[in-house]
Amino acid sequence: MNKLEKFEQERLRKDLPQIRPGDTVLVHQRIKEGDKERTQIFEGTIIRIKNRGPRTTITVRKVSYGIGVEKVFPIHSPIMEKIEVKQRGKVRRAKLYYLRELVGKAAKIKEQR
Amino acid sequence: MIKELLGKKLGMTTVYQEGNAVPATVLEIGPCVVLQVKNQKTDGYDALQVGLGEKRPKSTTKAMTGHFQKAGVTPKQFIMEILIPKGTKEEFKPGQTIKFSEVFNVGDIVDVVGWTKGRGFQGVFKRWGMHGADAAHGTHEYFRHGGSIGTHTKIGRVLKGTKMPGHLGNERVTMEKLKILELYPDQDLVLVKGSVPGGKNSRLILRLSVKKPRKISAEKKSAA
Repeated sequence: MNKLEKFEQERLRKDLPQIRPGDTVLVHQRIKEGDKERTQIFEGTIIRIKNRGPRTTITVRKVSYGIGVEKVFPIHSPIMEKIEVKQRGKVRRAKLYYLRELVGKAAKIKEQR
Repeated sequence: MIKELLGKKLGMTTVYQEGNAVPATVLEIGPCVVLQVKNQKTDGYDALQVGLGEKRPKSTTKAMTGHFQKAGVTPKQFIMEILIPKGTKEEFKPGQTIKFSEVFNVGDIVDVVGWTKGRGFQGVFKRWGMHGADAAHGTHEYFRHGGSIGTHTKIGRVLKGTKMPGHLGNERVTMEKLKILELYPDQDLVLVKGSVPGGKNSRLILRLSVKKPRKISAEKKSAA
């Protein structure tokens, strides 16, 4: 490991839970409005984890009022309050883009037990 | 006080500031070793000669070996001179190390001098951003050319400075007015905002900015 990698490693957040694609998570994000701050919770399935050290992001997908919504979160950013794992998913792929094509019961991911 | 130091570029990373992802370059600055103190009497000006990085004794010339021995240090890879204000030369002596914490603080505006990556002999697309000729309408054997380079008999020669293919990169470039985001004196690391010239592990000079940062007008300040 070179000095830069080591430096980046040390700055990563260590309070994050173990997450994998297919997991259903509750993402708590701090949102600033003027001088007020509140927490917004986004619940959905992780369809992608992009491992890039401090720039690591996860893409969380949910279906909201019949419309598919995906949100990308930089998980090492301080705006991320916490990530709660609601359910572990049983999937055979690292990137779950195929979920975009599926609706209803077909888009359901089985629980990993 | 001295205003500049030698260092090297480690690479880029992202830091988070107030929820924003900020691009930053990690620099390893110093600790520089004083090799020689130049003075008004013998050299005509007051300056420090400093070195950084280790060099094999085998690849050091005999003349330089003697020079390093005189300062009582191992051979150094990079050497530069730093001007010092008059009457401060007594504060420095050969063999002494200078750390960046004596020079830089968080929030300082700095210039970074580096040597860009060498790209060899390049055409006008890459070197000057020209757009070349049409790829269709009957064009053949003339796609990435720069077009005309001058007139016919009226001048009868090509003007100096005309943009043509040639060597690109490997030149000294100064990035001005970068902000120091964070400092880690125990690891000799400096984080500046934005990018700096050169590849990883290339040498750099970090100095306090020569130019003043543009002043924010009173209106803008109250808005922010």
